[in-house]
Amino acid sequence: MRKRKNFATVLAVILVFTFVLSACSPTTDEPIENGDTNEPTEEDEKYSKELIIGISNELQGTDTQTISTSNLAHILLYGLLIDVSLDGKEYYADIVESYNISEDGLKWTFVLPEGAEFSNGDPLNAEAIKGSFDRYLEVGAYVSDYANIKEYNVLDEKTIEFVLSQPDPVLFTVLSSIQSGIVNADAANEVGNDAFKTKAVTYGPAYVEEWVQGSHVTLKPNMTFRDFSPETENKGPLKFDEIKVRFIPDSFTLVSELEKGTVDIIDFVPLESIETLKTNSDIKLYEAMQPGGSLLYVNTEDPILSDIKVRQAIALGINRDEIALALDNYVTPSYTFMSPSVTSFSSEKEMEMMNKWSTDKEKAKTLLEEAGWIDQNNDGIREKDGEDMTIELLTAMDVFSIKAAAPVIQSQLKEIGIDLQIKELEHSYVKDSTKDGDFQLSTRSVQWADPMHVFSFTTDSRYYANDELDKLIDDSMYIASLDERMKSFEKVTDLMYEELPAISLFYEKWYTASRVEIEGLKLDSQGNFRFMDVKKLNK
Amino acid sequence: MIFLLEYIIRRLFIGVLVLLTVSILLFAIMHSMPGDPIQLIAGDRADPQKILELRIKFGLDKPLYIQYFKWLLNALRGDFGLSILASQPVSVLIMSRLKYTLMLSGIAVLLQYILAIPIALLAAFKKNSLLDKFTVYSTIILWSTPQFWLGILLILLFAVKIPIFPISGYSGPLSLVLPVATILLTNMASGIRITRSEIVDILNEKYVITAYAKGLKEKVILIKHVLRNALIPTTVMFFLSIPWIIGGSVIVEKIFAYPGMGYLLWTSITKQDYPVVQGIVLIIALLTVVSNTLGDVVVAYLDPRVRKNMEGK
Repeated sequence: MRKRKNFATVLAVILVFTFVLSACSPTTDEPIENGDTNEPTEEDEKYSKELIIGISNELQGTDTQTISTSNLAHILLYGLLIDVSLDGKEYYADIVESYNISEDGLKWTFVLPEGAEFSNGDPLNAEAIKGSFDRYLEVGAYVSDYANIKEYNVLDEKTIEFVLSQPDPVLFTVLSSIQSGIVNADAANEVGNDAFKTKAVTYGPAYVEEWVQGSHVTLKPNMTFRDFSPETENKGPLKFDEIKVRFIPDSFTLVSELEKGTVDIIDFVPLESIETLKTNSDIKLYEAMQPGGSLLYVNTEDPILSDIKVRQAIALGINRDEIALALDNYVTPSYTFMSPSVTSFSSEKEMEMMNKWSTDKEKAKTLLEEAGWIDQNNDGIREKDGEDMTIELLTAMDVFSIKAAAPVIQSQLKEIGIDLQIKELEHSYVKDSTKDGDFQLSTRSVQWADPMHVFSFTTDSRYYANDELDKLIDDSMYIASLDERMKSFEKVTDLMYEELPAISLFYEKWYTASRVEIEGLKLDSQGNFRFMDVKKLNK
Repeated sequence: MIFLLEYIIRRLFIGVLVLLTVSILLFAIMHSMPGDPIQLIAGDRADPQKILELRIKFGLDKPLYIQYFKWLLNALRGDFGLSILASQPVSVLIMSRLKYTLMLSGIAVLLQYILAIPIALLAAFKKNSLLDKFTVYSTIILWSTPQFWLGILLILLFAVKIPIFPISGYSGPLSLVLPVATILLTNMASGIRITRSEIVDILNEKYVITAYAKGLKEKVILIKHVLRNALIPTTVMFFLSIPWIIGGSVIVEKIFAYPGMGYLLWTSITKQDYPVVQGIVLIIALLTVVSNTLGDVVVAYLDPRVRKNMEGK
């Protein structure tokens, strides 16, 4: 009896202690009470007013003018002047009623809607748009993207005109990317850039109510927001009273939250969960293509790789289909350095290059022999002047597809007598080493919806120089006609294959998922979510 | 008692040297890591001018030794600089996470000792019984269980299959149960094993047998003679675990998306946010020095042999 009493005392102490500690804890996340006193409509009863999104990385900040990576939360926070269609083939007005480009391509005019306001109540007028772009030129990282806009003219309260120094088709991509999202520059000046980073005042479907570091960001709808996209049924505001974006870094936890139904949408599905989620009737899976692609960079100044025959042998020795198979078709083979979601992608050229450069191990072996690399001691590795054909491959440890592809490439090149040594490093280090020419082979993932940036990394480097290629890329960049532009980039692709400073490998498939209760969620060809039509059915 | 004061001063002096060494090593390691945090926050296509501006803003344009001395002087004043990633003072970031980590690790560590000592005492006292064997084998299993695996298992069992607790995040006391259980079960195992074997050894000591022979009550023998001596290694372990109450449990906080210091440390390491990593690690180092010294003092109080060593006898 006494023992039982002692045990009960210990248990009580533990419980009281736990309770006291918990009571001292930060405020719990109380459910948000809807202050609306109106009678609920049929739609209100059918659909939930709260949405929970799980994302794998915490926000770098809420001010997209001062950060380099964006995610689902930013899509909800920012409206864009123009946006790309879901199929990636055209651009239309997003937050503006209309936009017009003059025939010579030098004047872009945007007409703003009536009554639009920033999340702090300031009016969204032409002056505010000018202020937003002026601020970007001061604090933004990609100022050169706007270099061709020489003037921002406020024509009247609701009309702004961009005057360009030369036609710039890349501006479509730039203006439809999140870095061009509209911020309230006056509000930023008031609080300073560092404070603004944590609670930016924006014009978009939602605004930041609260950001709990390491936990979540709570968003509220901007009731004045209007969406003019022809592909959106709901012209605004959002159908939710509150959207909570939770930061869940572990992929197992992220998927478990979705499966349990405590999270409605997740921004990332790991490879190992794709098949499971496909068979789960409570889940909808969305697939998109990586804009850009994964490339194998080749140092043309390296003693071994300076020989074009060696570079050609490597290009022919790699079997992209095998890589895709090894990665459970999480990637798609690519021959023209970009995915179909990149503007100016040419399916004709892709087919042509696939026919020319599909794996051909015999031809690769012949090329290596012609280059003087012969396996004299029959150890499976070729030699020349007494030196083994050993090449180092720098690969990114933090990019799953690239990391997983490296041993496959290693094994494929071994078959043609090349000893590939893999060195795994962080992606940004691989990028710096490649740009500085401090490498032999390296794999990198490039993400941008315009081919200019896909190619410019190769040409803007210390390991490869080709004036003809540089000029062709520069010329292609400013071609206004999309067809002509595509033809010009086809020539760029031809030149790339003539010299092989980089070898096209594959592009990733990006997966995201939602609960079946989520309706109206759309994903564009580049993997960006469209939220305006999203509704959540009550269970 | 003067000898004890001398000892503390000597230890703290050595502690300062240790902290200086740690700070130099930490600074050197962080800055020699591959990659560039400025390039990371500015992005792939950032204009060189912007990169330079950011380097100047975070003081990374200066030679490394100047950066170090500037950082050290500021750190001594409690200013660990500005987070490269969040553009917020490191101290603000740390304070925003500290309450969560104190709650998680504090509960886990305290429960660990509250539960481990009676279990170890019971197992040792009933040596070779079924209870003892169960305790020994289950602690071996738990000790060798990786925390991430146990965390995932607990999520699957008690949040997905039987949805009693939240899977992740912090939304009230219930959110603490699974992460606390993960830390508690794996860490408690070591505590039980060490304390149990110590008690078993002490139970065979001559002074304990003498106490029994003198007819002392078992409760008095166990508490006054056995437990007091057996708790010496446990006390050392407790003081060693103090820095990690503050530092957080990196793996557990990541799995449970728990907004504590461990998660902050993990994010900052992967994003190469030097000032935050340096700030957190320096705090952990400082706490290690202080809690080690405190641990030694408490051990000296508990164990006369240690006191004699300190006195040089």
